[in-house]
Amino acid sequence: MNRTPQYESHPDTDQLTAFVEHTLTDIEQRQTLAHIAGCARCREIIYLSQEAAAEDAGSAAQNLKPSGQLGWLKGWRFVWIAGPALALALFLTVSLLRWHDHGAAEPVTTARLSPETQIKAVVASPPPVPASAVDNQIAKQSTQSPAKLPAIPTKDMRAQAAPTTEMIEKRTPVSAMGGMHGMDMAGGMGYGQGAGVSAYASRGTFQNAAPVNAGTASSAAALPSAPAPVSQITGVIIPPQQAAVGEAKSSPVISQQNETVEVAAASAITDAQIVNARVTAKQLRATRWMAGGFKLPNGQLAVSTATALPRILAIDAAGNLFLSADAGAHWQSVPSQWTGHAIKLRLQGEPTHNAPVTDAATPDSVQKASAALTAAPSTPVFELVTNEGKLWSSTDGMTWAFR
Amino acid sequence: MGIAPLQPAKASIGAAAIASTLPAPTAIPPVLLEELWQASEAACWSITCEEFAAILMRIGNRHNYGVPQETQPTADQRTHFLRNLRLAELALAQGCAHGDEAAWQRFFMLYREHLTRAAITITRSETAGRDLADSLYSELYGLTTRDGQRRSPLASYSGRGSLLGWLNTTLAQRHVDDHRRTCRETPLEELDVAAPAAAESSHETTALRLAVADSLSKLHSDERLLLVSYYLDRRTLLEIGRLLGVHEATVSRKLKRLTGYLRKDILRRLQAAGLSRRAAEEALGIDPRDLDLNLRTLLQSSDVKPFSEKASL
Repeated sequence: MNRTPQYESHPDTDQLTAFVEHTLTDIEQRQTLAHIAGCARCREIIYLSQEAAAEDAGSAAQNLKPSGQLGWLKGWRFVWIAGPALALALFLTVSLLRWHDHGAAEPVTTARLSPETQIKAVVASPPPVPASAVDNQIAKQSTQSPAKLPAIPTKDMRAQAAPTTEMIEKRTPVSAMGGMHGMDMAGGMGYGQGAGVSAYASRGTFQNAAPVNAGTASSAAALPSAPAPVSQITGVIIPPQQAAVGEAKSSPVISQQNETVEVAAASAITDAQIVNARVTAKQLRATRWMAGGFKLPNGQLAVSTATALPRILAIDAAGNLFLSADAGAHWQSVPSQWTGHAIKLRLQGEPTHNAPVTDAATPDSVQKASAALTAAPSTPVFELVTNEGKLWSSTDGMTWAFR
Repeated sequence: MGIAPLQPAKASIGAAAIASTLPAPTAIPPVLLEELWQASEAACWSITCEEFAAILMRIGNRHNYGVPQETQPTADQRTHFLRNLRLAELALAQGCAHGDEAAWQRFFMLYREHLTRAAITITRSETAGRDLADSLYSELYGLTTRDGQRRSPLASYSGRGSLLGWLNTTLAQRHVDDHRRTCRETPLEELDVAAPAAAESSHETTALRLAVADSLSKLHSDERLLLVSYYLDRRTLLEIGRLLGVHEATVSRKLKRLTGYLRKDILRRLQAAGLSRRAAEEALGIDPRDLDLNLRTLLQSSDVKPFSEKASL
């Protein structure tokens, strides 16, 4: 019979426990390990003790978990939702962006000016719009039915136009559409008649059920006191040129973004037509010329502009004059034919071009603007004011004569 | 049947008795002693600072503060050893050994249920487990008397490991010892199938037996523990890894490397014994039952120094 060695002495319980828990010193650990390797009894004890400890640890872990839960797995049970949720979010984002692009090409706002209007508007010629095709279409419409005027631009809104257009772009597609809509309408009127109504309305404008008083912003000269009512139509931008005064009032409540806005024009502008403008995202981007502060081809900002679509004249801070014959798509420098330093541009009969923008217009100011609109010339004559106070005029923007 | 911890008799292991058999408690710096005493919360179990110092001194001397017996521990080693003790559990165990009722209530609340569960796990029997737990609990309670005095095994707990682990090990010891005692005719080691008598002791088998014996005898203790645990005790890789504090994959790699090394070493020894390589490889293919070889004997008969101290229980 084979006999296995039996040790007379074994590590005590403390030492075996400490060995299992690895709390012995290195020397003691090696000593105990050597004993265990040769002692079946101690090995058996250790493995049994270890088994009990593992079982107890497992049951303790079970006790810590409330019934019906999966412990650490509980937190991972709904991880699978993350994938579909992420995909859904991505899909929605892409859809929104695509809708934005496509939606910009859809008709967004229809403004109708009726003779029995209650809103007086200051109408100015529209800002340069690169999308000349749209302008032409609008101009055609305005020519065909001049009795209806879509919006009310004021020249004093020019300075506000850039930030507002920027705001429109930054807000939502709808607000941008509103702005473009107004711009196109103004462009149409300016091209066809030399006078028109332009309104750049943001979504906020339409969503606010407040009356759309497009005549709110009027020039300091023509409309000295430009009070607050316009402030309610935050997004209304009225191009600078060809001031025409009217009064318009929106339909009672315009609560949605894409809806028909009925605007009544004053008697002075009853020749305006109803313009349905289709605004595209590309056209909106084209307005960045305005939104970017009227940046000219030489990189300078325009300090003064005069618009009689499709012609746009602009001068920079150095007095350089630029002419665009296609509503801002292309520019050419106009050689200096005047003495002194050009500081202002305007259309004939327009008191000022770059007066500070006011947020609102009082009824008086609207009346004055209306009168100015009545007096607006049918053939645009550009005027250039130099720092010497001299006035130069031109009908095509290229050839200038001293007056 | 459980034993309620009611009115435990004061154990004879009192502070005075401890102090009389141990070096002066002043061996522990007062600041350190105060720190350890506060950390142990021994005051909750009616153990004074002096009594606790005596307990610490006894434990330190018994384990020589974790350094080899022939080495004199330094002050830092003593401090390190004492600070690494599980002081709270040590105080609780000593409080129970002293018969403090609050300590017993605490012990009962913390460990009674665990004791039963562990015993059932160890014995793999509900009935045997409960019996084992009850017997140990009564023993811990101090129902066992020696020289007319009640003694509690808890007094031997030194705090080097957890009290829970100590209870597990104690239960396992009881179970193994009971098994050995009741199965005296067939002890655990004798369950091995005895090696059959070699029919013919050829030169190859003799050389192989010697080579295997030599190779196994040269193994380190941890390598022998691996082989014994896996091949003889049939422990799983997980159990072995848990014991050695490594991952089971590491145990698997070690085993593979070890068996590969053993094969090469035995081949080398066979060739050194005069066998050709081919003959040596053929010798490795001999049926192990044809060998007069007891691996358990070989693996457990290594030169292991016995512990200087017998098991305390």
